[in-house]
Amino acid sequence: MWPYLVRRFAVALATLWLASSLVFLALLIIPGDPASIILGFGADPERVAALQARLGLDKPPLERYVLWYAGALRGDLGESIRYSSPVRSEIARGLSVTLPLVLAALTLATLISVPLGILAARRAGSWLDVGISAGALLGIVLPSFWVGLMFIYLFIVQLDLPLPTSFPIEGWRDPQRALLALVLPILTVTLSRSALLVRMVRGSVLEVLNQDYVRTARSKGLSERAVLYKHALRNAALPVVTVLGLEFSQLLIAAVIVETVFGLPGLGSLSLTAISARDFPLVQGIVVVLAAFIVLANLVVDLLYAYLDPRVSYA
Amino acid sequence: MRDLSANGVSVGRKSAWRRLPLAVKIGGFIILLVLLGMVAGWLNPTDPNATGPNRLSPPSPQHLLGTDLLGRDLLARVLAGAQNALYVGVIAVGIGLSLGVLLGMLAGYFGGWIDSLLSFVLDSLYAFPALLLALLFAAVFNPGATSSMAAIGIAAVPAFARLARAGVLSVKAQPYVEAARALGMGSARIIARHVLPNILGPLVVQASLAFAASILAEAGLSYLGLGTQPPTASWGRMLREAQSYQELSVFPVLWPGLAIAFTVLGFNLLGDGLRDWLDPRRQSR
Repeated sequence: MWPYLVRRFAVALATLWLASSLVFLALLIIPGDPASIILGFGADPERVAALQARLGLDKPPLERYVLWYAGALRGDLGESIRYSSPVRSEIARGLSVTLPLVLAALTLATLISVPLGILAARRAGSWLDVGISAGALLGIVLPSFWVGLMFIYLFIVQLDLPLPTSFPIEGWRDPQRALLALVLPILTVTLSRSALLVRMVRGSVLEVLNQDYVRTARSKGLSERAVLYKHALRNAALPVVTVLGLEFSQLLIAAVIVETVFGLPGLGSLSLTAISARDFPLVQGIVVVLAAFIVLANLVVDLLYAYLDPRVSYA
Repeated sequence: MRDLSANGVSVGRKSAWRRLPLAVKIGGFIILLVLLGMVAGWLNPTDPNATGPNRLSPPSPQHLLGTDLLGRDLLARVLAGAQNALYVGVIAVGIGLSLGVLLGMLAGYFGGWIDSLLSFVLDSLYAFPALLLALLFAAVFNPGATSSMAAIGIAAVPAFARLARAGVLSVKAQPYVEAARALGMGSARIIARHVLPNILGPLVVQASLAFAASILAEAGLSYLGLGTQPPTASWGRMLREAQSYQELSVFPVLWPGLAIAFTVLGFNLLGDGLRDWLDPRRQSR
């Protein structure tokens, strides 16, 4: 187990290094000098040069690269150009909105879709299955931002529910308003993710229920409950866990669309501003933090695999 | 005699049509309607960008779907949006399909370090958040239809590559490929003659599903302001503009969303249905 973890950790670090280096390269080839963009068209060349010096843009790329890494290793991701504050605190602020949103939505989506998917698979071909599958298809084809807009129209414009339409500036220091502001976004993301997961769970359970070992378990007289819980679900869980891991890391950024609908200052919105403002340190920091989350999610998925499937051993 | 079935059982044309899953028929019908809508958009005398005096009018005989804040006819804009969506879908899926199949077949056919390298790159791309890719593309190139199509297409590459690679691996092991090589056929010819036709089915399924995903992705990017730029009518862009005045009229928000959902539904049904149809395990029924 331990050698495996050490190896995994090494791979994780290598991935992080690769991702950050690639983004560094990508930012180098982006047209447009950040200093001139910030100061606007036709700015005084002397002021541009001064800003370049302050941002460290006058140094050669290799030196900037080394300097950035020296800082990152100490946990210092540099200073945001646009916000003139540490990149780390901007990202932390974004995550304080996006993480609760994504985690709550994925948890809810799992709680909804696992029972529904199992139910649909066990009664495959029945009207119940057709109903559940049709509902899932509907959830997939409706664009999530449109669903969000419709929620706003229905719940806020028509029903006039007392939900805030933007995230409080004080953030979580106003916990009640922050929580209320997240209700509709969580509902929106939950709906679209549940739709995907229901199909996934249904397909996975259906596949497993056709396996020989399930037939064996049934023919040796086990109750349907025991067949389902002892033999089928554990195996069916494997692909579902993989998808959940992937969904989590994708959603941290994909949430930008729902964040835009509801005016949430999350990580997605932050990357949108960072990129349009050519805020290189911020972009770089976001990508590294994101890569770290992807690596972490993969690690958790791998460990869950070992737990769910005894054939997988990490010796 | 032409053999239209997937499992080698000879059936005539008529019964092949009857055997097609309902999902494929409905999906095909919806896609046909979208195509008709696109043609109608071309023939429609109403300019989708022409502003008029009737602002935010509800559906009426003059404006069947109503008008937006600038008095533009929503029907004309929704139909013009169909042209845009299909155009983006074709280009994005074209990029994903051609690059993906090429890389996947190279990896599967030659194996060894080529396979290891390509698989690593494609797996990394698969794990890379697609939306971040689109954001970076919008920053490197200017935001617009081109950069969003490129990003959507490249994000679709790994899925196609995976299919092509798996297909090549299973076909490569067949005796007839060995026979072809023994007869002196070159790699390119073996791939074109024997490998490609055998993996066509799954690729068509994936293309249909990728088309649906591309339309959703393009709408999302245009909604964020990174996709199709004004004044070109795109469904995502229309939603972005309509959001700011949705308390005043719901119709400018309603129609583009329904149009997206309808089109995506068509391609999803077609892809899902074809997959079930091609799945050998379902053929025994």
